[in-house]
Amino acid sequence: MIPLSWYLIVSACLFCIGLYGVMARRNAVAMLMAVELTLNAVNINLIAFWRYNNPGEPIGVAWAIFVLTVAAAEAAVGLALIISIYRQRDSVVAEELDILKY
Amino acid sequence: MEFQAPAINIAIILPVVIVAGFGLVLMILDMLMEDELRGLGPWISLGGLVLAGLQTIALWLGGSYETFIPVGGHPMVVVDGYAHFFNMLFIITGILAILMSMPYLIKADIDEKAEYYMLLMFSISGMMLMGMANDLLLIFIGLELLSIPLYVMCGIARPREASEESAMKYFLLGAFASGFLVFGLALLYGATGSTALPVVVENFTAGGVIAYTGLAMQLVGLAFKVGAVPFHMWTPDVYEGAPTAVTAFMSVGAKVGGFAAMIRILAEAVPQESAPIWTTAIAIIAAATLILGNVVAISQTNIKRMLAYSSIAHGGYILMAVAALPFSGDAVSASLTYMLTYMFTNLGAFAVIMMVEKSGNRGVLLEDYKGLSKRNLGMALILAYFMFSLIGMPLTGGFIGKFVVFQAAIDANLIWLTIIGVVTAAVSAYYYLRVVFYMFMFDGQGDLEFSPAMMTATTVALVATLAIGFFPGLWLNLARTASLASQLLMAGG
Amino acid sequence: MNAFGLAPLLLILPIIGVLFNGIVGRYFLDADRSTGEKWSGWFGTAMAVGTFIVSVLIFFSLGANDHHAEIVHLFNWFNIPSGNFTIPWAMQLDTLSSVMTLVVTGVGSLIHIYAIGYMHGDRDFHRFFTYLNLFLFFMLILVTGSSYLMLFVGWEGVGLCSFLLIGFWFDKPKGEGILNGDAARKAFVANRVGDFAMILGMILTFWAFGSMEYEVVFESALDLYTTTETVFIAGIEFTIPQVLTGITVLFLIGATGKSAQIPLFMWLPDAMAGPTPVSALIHAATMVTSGIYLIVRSNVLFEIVRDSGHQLFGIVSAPDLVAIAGAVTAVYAGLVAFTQFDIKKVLAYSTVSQLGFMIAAVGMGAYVAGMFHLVTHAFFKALLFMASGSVIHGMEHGHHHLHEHSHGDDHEEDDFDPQDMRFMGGLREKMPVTFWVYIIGSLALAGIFPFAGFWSKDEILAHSAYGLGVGEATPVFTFVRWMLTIGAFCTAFYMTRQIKMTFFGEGRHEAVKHVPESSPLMTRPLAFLAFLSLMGGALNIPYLTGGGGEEASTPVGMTASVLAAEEDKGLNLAFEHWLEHSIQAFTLEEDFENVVGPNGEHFFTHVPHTPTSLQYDIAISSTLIAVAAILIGWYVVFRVWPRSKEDPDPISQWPVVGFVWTFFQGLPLDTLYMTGIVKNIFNPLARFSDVVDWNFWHNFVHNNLIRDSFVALADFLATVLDPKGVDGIVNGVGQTARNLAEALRRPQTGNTGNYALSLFLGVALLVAFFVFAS
Repeated sequence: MIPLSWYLIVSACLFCIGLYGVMARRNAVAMLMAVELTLNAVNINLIAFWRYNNPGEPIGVAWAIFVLTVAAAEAAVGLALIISIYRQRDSVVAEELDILKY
Repeated sequence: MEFQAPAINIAIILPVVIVAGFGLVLMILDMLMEDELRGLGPWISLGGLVLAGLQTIALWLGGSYETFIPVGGHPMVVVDGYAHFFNMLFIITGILAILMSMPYLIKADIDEKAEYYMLLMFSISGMMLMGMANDLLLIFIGLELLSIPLYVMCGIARPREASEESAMKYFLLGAFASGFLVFGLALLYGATGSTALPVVVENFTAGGVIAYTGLAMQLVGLAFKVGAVPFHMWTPDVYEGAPTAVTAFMSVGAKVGGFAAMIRILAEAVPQESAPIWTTAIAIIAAATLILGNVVAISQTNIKRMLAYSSIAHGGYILMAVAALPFSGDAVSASLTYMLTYMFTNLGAFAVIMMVEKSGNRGVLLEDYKGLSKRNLGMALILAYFMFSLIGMPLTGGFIGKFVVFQAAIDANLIWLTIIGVVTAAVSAYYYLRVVFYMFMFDGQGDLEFSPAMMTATTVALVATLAIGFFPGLWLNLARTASLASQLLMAGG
Repeated sequence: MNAFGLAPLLLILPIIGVLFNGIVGRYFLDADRSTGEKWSGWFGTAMAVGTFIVSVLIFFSLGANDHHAEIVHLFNWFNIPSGNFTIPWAMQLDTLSSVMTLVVTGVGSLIHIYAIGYMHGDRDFHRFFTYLNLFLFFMLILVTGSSYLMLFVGWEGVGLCSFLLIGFWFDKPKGEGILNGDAARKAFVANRVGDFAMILGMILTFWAFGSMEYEVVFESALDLYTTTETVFIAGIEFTIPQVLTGITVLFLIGATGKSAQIPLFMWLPDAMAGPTPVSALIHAATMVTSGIYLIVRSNVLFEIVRDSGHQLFGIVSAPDLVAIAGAVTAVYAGLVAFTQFDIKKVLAYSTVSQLGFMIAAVGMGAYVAGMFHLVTHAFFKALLFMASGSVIHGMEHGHHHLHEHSHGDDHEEDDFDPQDMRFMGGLREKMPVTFWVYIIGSLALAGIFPFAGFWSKDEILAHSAYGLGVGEATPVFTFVRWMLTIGAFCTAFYMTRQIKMTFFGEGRHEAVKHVPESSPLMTRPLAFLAFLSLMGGALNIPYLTGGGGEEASTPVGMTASVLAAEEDKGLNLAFEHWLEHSIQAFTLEEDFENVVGPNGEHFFTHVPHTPTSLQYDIAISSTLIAVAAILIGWYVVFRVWPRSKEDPDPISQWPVVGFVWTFFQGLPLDTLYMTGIVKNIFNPLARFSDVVDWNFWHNFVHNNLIRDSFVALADFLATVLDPKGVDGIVNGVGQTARNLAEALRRPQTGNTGNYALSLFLGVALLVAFFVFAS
């Protein structure tokens, strides 16, 4: 059987890819996708912990479903915001959003 | 497997159910109703909040400390004095925010009336969940329920670019931070085998490094919400860009919500032996927050941005009490008192700011406050009193808040932090008094626009700040009874 | 935990300031005038503010410590092991000394800031701040000492500083300098009389109780009294009430010297020769209140005498004597204040009168009311003095301006006096800020609702009426009550007169036309004190109905159990709740309830209690009296008072009134002093001291020892320390903060990616910290 730590390593890698994406990508849609990646990493974690540590209580699974739901809600709100901004400025580059500073 | 519905005592979570339910009703109304009926939005949500408030008071007087036990034998929700206190805080914040929004939305030409109040109600229900959550899962859900509507509310003044930009920034960074939070929670779950706080605290030490990493990441998520340095970067931009009514609501609600969960977790999900580690971290964060917030506020020219830094700084004072948590029996009640005074003072100050503001996001520069006393002496005096309270001058609510927080910090032997607190409070006088100076030492003209709703909100905030300043005993007692059970034990009953 | 360990800083910080300004201040001033002033002034101010921060921390610590007193032991002064005899130096930090330190350092800090503006351009700028810091040092010893001995060290020290500061301008031209020196000496001599009585009192204390530590003295006094034991002094047997009567009367004489009461009050009005910040700090807010502090501190001794009923020479008991002295002074000084034309002298007599109120209060056993009036008085009298300083400053400017623009036009105005109210008038429009704060200060002083003075004065009057319960007032209490009522009338009257003469009407001198408003450095502390004068009364608002749970009709006194029941009921009597932990007189009645003396007697059955609820009859009548005084004063001024210096004084022509008027204007006690003491004692002494001062001190010590060695140091500092860098730091708590703010706002670039990066770095640091620390 594959040990728990393998899953955790995959999840950590996925999480770091997500972090990298948020910090490095300039396109707001790409940043949003990177955030989704971090949430998926969490899901892998949750399911792995549930399966290996206490499969008796369905907490991990339930939680994963909540995280999915929240991620969906976030994506909906985020895409709406991005579209709204695109209509105004014809651009979704996060760096160009800098009216507000200092 | 046979499914058995858990025994749910709906009565004790009724306040949050009412608030969320009214949010749903508004949602349906918004879709189905004619424009005229949508104007009822604020009144319906006010009604819902008042109902929820009455229910909370009834529960509080009844001393109901029951818990709501779903699966696995551990309560997900603890409806104790602490939860009641925060519920009341959020409900009052909501009521004041709605009163202020009614005239403000008209002034700022924001059309989505019912939608706005629906979002506000959902956000409040999320905050309330944060206060009563006894389970990591519920804290996560509460936090998202709090945040997602706020993202939309920040951008509700579209097509104004600043509003959209603030929403975008808040959303991207908020989602990023909640990624950390939920990753941290998952690690804690893995390390301790449960999401219920009482189990987490038992197995925390056995969890070792993973548990600590989880705790750190989860603190990041909450520190982001309360705007602690170095997770504060979003605060000034978002506060400045968002519609002022949303800024007022967010500066109190989101921050207090973050602290509600943070204090509950640190007091009940972390064992006493790890206290030296996290209190050091929190104390350093508090010091950085106090210094940065108070210093950078000096250089601001926009009053909303200045108050954003000021609210960062106030978060620092509350963090002082959080850092004192394991060593002082009064720390929780001190932070509760501080949040109470901060809520009324800050909302009151924002109410006056909204009256001075002109349509199209103009009239929010410090320059615009020159000669306010000549335009309307009463408003200038009221704003000056709120500024005094934010400084923490005696005979204002702010003084009582700072007093108890400093006392708790000294009690916990955090003398260096107290000195930073006292000195930065003195620094803060510089920028708050500048507003007073501008108001009284220059000439100005033009009338202010008054509206009954806004005046009501201002009056409530003023009376409450005065009441706390002059009769602190009542409020201190209230905060003390609302303190967490673990703290009450420490304070000797 | 607590911050009591920081207490020695209260003494160390001012001493650092003294050393800095005393040693190098001169050379900074000589090197570069404006930089030197900034260094000198702001360094001294920083030390004062530092002590204030420490006081605030101690204040919180007391709260965290359940208000229990803390004794911080510094070192043993001397120790005789064989005799088991030690004199320790220790600081007693309790709620009483905390109130005093907060007032001293808080008002002190404001006055330091004000003085930077007021003393601007003075030749001896650094010397002024040296003295101010030295004063702070001794005053803090006085109020934090744990024994009569330490109190006395501070007592003498503040006397010295007062002397130095009154005579600060000893070298003013045209004879003024000599007058200033005389005033300083007068103060010193009057204080010496009081101090001699203090020494006797302390010796007697030590003789009777074998210690001078407060706690030990009070313990053994109570113990010996309730066991009706006697003590032997110089081989003669005395009962405890007899000994304590002696001690308390001697303390009273000491207090009359320091707090300027009859018969030793005449030095205070002359002390106004000193710079105005000194008048505000030393001669209004802090030093002169040390007599009240002494009596409050010794409350147990006074209560024992009161309880025993022992009377001095069978005439009057010691506490009653205190009350009478205070009450008589309150009226006498209030009447003299009518006759003065010097703006500061009016305030000086007013201070004497208000100190009389406080002394009368503590004499009647209303310790909290006395302390309350002390605190509020510190706010509004410091405000009034500083505002009058602003007026004087303005008048001097105006006069100066006049001279500059009267090129060659050689009309000398030798009789112009910037402090004479007869030259003022109409300043309302010229100095709006000063005018408004003056109005606030005066209303507070006159006791108009809701200003600070109303609450504190009312509490004293209520005590004189109901302190022993309804219908129980002793003749002394009744006497005090009516005297203080007259005193309150006088207060409102002379303040109205002063305001009308200064700020209203038309300018009665050309100089008025050119008066500017004072600099923000001076007006900002004024505005702050005005706020305190307005709100200070809330420190100790009585219950508006009844005594909390008691019946509303009977004024109920404060006992420990009532106090305990009233905890956490709001801000009412917050000050009383705070002080009760230091004033044992509160609990004596309960502590000794079950103690029975050898002859079956009970103790402390008639300890007076200040009513806890607002006494509407007193409050309304005293307000009406004050309002009446204001109206009468408004009507009378300019009708019977001379408008200018040349006008005859119509009032002195009136029958009877004229006689009283000239009597008070002549200052009978002053005349006695000038003819009796000055001529016969001072003049020979003056010649002797001149030799010592000039030949030894000035030529040898100052020129050869100090000056030459420090010129070298100053050269070094002036060349090595870049004057601009220095300038930046000092000018600049403000500028530095602004620069820092500019620097810190730069990372806020507006770019979301940067924000995310900062967030990530924070996470990395926090996680790393948690992982390594675990």
